Amino acid sequence: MKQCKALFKKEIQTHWSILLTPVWFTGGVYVTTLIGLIIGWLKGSSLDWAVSVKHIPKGMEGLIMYSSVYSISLLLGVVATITAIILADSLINGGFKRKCEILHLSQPVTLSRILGIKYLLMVPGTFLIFSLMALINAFVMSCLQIWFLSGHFYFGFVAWVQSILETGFSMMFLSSLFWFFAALYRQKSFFKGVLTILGIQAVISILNYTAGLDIPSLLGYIGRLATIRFELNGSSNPQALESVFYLITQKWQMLWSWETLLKVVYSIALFVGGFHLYRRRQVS
Amino acid sequence: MSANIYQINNLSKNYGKTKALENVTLSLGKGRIIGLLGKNGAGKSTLMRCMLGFLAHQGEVYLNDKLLRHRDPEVFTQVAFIPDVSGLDDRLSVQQTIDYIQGVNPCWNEVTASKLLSLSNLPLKRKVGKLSKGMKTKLYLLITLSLDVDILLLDEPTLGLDIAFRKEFFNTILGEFFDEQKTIFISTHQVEEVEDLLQEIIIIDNGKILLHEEVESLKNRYRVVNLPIELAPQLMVHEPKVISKTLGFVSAILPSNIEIEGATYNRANLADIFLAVVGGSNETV
Repeated sequence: MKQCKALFKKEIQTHWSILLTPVWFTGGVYVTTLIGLIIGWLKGSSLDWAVSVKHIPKGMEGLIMYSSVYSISLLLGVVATITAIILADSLINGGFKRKCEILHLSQPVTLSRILGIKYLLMVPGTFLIFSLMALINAFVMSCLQIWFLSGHFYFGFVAWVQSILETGFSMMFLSSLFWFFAALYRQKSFFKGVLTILGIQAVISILNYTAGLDIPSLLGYIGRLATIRFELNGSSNPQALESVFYLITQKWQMLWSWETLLKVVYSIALFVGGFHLYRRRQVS
Repeated sequence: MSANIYQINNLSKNYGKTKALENVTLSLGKGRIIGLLGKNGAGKSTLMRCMLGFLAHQGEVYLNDKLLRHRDPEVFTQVAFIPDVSGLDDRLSVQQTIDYIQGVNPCWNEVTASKLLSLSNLPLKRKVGKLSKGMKTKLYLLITLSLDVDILLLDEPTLGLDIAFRKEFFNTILGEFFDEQKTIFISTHQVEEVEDLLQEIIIIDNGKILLHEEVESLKNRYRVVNLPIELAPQLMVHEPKVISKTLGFVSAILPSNIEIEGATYNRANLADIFLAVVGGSNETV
């Protein structure tokens, strides 16, 4: 336990600036908005945007709150995912690049413990920071909307929960993929990883074209697992799409699907694969 | 348990087609200070990394009669390793580095650490990246010598340090670490600095062990032979690997049992003996 605590503390101390990227991003957006508002106020502009929301039809407040909180969280989710991908390389190869790998590996700590702590910081750590920032955003957005329009915190809260879960699973999958590549390649792991995927995709395409095979697209499959999708079935009742409750139910169904389970399974497999590659490394 | 702390049998390591180590067989005893000498690329660092389980290899390395596996962290409950002293984590502060090693290494001895810290005057809040090379050396020594281990492996630890810090480095190690139960294994280019410390010497060249002997016995086995330059052919008969010419004299290192008429003899130092065994330029030692 003492070792885990020391390892975790060290990883935070050496990676805090990367880990807090979602905080810097959120803070930057708030500061920029605030500066814009102050400049506008000093120039004597009226807050037109606050007035225009009053023209929104009655009954749409819930949908607006839900979709606005969801969208903002997704945007932050993209930042969090990029953060986790950068962390993957920094956690695995940072010591090697800074020529201090031997110091860290000359301690009587098992590799499973070292890598377990690193992965914990990369996925749950980034997820925690992202969730907190998204919660603050959701709260601010909901408060503003209730103040200027009307609505209920419930929609903002559900949008927050669903967006962080959906983004979280995609982030877990993508960062685990680049964790694997970071263990495979010591230098420029991101670019080499992307090139590897593109290379495999090229081979698949050539085989499909020349041999008449029908191998599914790897790139397409990774893209499907990595991105957030809205597939709302409104053909039977188009008006249902306007109902926020319908959207929420559809989203829950999408979240608790095989695809989500596959993201988790692939992430675990990629973590284990990365672990074995790292263990086979020669330290020089 | 045998008297040897390390037993290495037929150790070989290849980097592609390059043979870094070839059938190295060695025994390192307890309570000894052993020097590993070799030119650049002779295989010193590779040997040390194999002894720590950092590199996969052929052959066997036993530590206290236990076979060492690749990337087995268990080795570090008995061995502390200092490579180049610049290899600290620049992102941590001095205090964070100390806390980290204290937390992860169960061999940490708080009493020794406090003593070394009080002697070092290290700025605890300063980032390691902003420390001078001398300060980094002190920090590396602090975090290594505060560990209760049996063996200390040093791989060119003082590379790039000025002479004052190099002397302090070795004096601190001798004073704070060494006793008759502990082993120090040093690979270094600066033979002159460790010459007085070493009890045994190992010379490695092209991945092969050329010599493993007690320093005193080695110094008795070789000597410097000086001859007037006109008598040089008498020296050449014995095919010395290195000859130097100065002020009308020629000198070489030859086995002590060789007698040449008209020659004067001096006691050889380790650098001389190294050159006599390996040959090549004096710059490498």
